[in-house]
Amino acid sequence: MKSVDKEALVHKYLVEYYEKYYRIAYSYVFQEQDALDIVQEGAYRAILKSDALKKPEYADTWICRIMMNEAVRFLEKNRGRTVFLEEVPEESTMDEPEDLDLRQALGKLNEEERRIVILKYFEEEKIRTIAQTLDLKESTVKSRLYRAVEKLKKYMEGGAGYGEMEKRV
Amino acid sequence: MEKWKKEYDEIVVPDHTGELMEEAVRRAKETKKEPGDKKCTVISEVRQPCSQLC
Repeated sequence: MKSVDKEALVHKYLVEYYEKYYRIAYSYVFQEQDALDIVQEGAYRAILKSDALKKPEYADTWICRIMMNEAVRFLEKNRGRTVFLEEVPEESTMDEPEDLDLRQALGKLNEEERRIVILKYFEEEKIRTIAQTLDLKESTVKSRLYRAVEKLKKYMEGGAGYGEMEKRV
Repeated sequence: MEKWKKEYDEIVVPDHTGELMEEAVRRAKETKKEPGDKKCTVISEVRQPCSQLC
């Protein structure tokens, strides 16, 4: 595929699926303006790097990965100003079952688990696609997904054994 | 997970998101078009013709 065609393809996806990319960005920062900053910067980078797209059939997930990387970069850059997901205050104690909202639930996961959960359960991507997107083996995606779900279940059931929050990667 | 999926799906996307994305794409394309020899341009501006140096 020629460079110009790759660029056109990435452009097409950005325009067509911008709502999806916004939701991904928002699920990291939970702030409208911050999410907008992320998707704009992500779109900018995606076009600049469109030559690096190896498999056009994975253009969408390739852009998702760029958006997620951009979100992490944004959080690192704004550390102090932005409240990290895991810093969200919790009212309940670990001895009681928790009713977590989306922000709190994602805050329980490390970066890789969060990416996998977002792509699998919220964006409903196939394991194979997620593996391609994140450059992991399918078996690795499955095991990390299982671990993430188990972690969330434990929290929902009362948090036994999960007193320590996971650190960001 | 269904509850969180519902919450995720209900994230409101601002109306102008598409326009902002288009703007970012336009900026990126312009950046790509820009010649990469800006330094050479600057040097050529500073450089004096040989006739003045000799």
